[in-house]
Amino acid sequence: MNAAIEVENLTKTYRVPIRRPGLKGAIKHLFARQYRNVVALDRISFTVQQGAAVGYLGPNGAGKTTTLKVLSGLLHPDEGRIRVLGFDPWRHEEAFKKRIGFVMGQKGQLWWDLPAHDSFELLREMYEIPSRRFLSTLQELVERFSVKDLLYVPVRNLSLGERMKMELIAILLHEPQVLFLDEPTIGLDVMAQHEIRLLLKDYQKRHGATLLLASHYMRDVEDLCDRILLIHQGNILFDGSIDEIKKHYVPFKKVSFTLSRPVESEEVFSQWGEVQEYSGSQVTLTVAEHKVTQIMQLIVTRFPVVGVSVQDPSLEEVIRVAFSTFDNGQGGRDGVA
Amino acid sequence: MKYVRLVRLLLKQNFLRELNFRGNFFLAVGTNALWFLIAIIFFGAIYLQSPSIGGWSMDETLMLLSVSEIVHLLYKGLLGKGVSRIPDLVRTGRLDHLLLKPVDSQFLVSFYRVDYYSLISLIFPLALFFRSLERLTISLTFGQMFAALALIFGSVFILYSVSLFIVSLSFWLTQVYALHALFQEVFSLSNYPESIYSGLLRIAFTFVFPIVIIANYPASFILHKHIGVLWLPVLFAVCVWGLLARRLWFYGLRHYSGASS
Amino acid sequence: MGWRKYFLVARLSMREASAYRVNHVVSFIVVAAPLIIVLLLWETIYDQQQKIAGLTRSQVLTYFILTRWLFELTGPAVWWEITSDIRDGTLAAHLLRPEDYQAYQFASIIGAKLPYAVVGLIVIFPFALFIGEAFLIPDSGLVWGGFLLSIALAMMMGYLFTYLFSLTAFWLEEGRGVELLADIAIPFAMGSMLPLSFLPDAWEKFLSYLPFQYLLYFPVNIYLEKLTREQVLLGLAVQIIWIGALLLINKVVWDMGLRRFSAVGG
Repeated sequence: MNAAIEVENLTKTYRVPIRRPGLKGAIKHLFARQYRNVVALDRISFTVQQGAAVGYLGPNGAGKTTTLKVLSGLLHPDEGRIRVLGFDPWRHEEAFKKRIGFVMGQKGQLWWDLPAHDSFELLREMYEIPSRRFLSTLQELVERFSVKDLLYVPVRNLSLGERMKMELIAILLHEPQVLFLDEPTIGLDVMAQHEIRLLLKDYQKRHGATLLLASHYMRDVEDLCDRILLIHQGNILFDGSIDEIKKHYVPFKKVSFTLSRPVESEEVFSQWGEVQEYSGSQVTLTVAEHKVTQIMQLIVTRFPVVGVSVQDPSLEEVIRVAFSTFDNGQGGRDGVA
Repeated sequence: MKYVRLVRLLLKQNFLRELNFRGNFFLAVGTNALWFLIAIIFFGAIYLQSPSIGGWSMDETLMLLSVSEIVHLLYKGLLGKGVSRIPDLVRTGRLDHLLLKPVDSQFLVSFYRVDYYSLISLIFPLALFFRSLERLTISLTFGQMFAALALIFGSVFILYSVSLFIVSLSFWLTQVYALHALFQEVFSLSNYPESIYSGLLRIAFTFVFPIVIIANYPASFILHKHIGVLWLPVLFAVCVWGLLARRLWFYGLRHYSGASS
Repeated sequence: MGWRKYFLVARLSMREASAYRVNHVVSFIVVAAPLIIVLLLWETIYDQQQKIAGLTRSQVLTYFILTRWLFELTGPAVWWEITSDIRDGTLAAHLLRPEDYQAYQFASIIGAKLPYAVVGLIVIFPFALFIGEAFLIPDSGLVWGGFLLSIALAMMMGYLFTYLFSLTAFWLEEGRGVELLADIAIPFAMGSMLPLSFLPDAWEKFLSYLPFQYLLYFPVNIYLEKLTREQVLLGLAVQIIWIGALLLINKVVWDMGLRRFSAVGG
């Protein structure tokens, strides 16, 4: 299987002007600008196979958007070798642009005063999509997104959710093989977010598209991606599947037991794990991941357990641990819940 | 060619947009008409008191005025709106969408908006133009008309290139607005007869700020049916400014980083 | 009488204009630069004749340099701060305070214009040098006195017009029509495009009944010593009368506007 995206030693530094306050500062700024260098990306390397969906997670300013922009050709890296579908994005070849799509959360491209259909027409011309192909793709997308009756309504009259769907259709019209997504569900209500995720997943499955998603909504990543890249201060902290990342940083699970008869003391349980919750007939323990089965068996045999549930740490929690570990200077091996 | 089809489509979409958009037709066209009227009164008043401006008679100057206005309105109508949107697109990062398209970015950004009010306002200078031709008893052969049109479109291209050049500075400067306004004000004086310029200033206003070229050259050609060696400065301006603008535009894109990182 | 607070407003406005609105100074330079082309035009016009429309070459060249500077001080406009206060309702905050909104805006606007006055002189200085001895400088103290007094009165008049035009925001959603008048027709009537003596007699007569020439044409004529002492005194009196009239008109319009403002629930 071919690699859809190849990144080697990608480095990007921004020169940010330093402004000093006051009138003197303003004048100085006019004549002798001072800059400081912000390293947005520091020799990043990774590969994404065709058809994969990778999530890019990190706090603001970590370099997520920068990476997406470099990969799509909007930004020029200072160093590094990039290949997307075999193309060098910075060469801006038309063939390259016709194969990629970029979903930008807050920035729309549809003409405000015209119906979405007119913007789609323009896109068809720009991407040189053959008529018949265009019509069938449009039909399919419009049906799946259930916006058929809204095609001829001026975009300004659509609700936020409807508009987002139209924007998404606009990007998928030319059937891109690689999709870059930058905060695609930001600003949407929970229902709309869910819908967008489903639609993206659906598109990816049916077209075998490669997804690279940057978001700080965990649900976006959980629903859409199989693999995560954790990026922090320009470096990749971790590259692996969701399960792997959980095991690596938070190798614990929350196990909850429901008892038919309350048990008096909680100290009894603390030998098997950290007690998170204790209310007589409900106990929740944090247990080391590899010991879960064993401890479950122990407790079930000793106590009148009527219900058990095992919960993974939330991705959010894991990420938080990962970053705080990094910030605390540790390599990140022994994260504690 | 794809680009020809795109222009047609953009013309159509912008027209539809104008219909949907609650713009004020009378105000827009009225403004253009008023400016033009004041300019006519300006020259009319001067000629009331003096028979010539550096050898140009009133009819000749009015013809020059109409040519200048035609060039400005053509630029404003077809390309001006696209160009003046650029600083805003750069600032908000919305330029990204245009850059991702498999279409030449300079082309797309320039033609993205069409100002139909300016194009409609062309009737005013056109009326004055034809009236002046009549009063000057000028008639043009087909070939001469073609050459005159070529000069006019060359002028529009030069005006466009200079404007794009200035506006591209918004990739680095945030206060481009004032600079842009300066150029617009200077270029609005392209309706002054070229005989007012001499020496160093003439060179400056032909080659550095080509305001002499954009209106006086087509007008001179129509008056004298002959432009001789002056084709060279026109070609020079078209090529040099065209290249400078395109180069700066792409150079700016390299340094463009969008609204957020 | 609480004048001190308006003085402070003016000072603040001045400081703001100086420190942060660097681009306003650039804007002024922007407006002044085409002046060179204008001067070239008029030099050419006066190539053949010594005196046209009652003005000599030197007078005309001086005229255009002076008016370019003076226009920034006295030209009426639609003032964004006032119209936005009205349209988005922030005017309410001002109404609650013990202040006279017109006086407040006067201090603010004049405060903003004074730095331009100084910077403007620096900017037009090279143009004065450019025309050399053609740049006229009166040597009569009386002329200077009359000139400066008429400028002060013109600035007051100009401000009152600006205020009046801005108040149309009480009734109009979009100020574009008013701006049209202010940007095109009024400057012409002021004499900023060309000296009014160039116009046909009937037009000149008509425009002389309008207040606008007292904002620009009249003061510059004093400077060029084209007016007799009686004419100067008369003109100054007319300026004062217009100021009085405008104060009255503005009060009426303000009251009407306020009623509408509170009715709409600003």
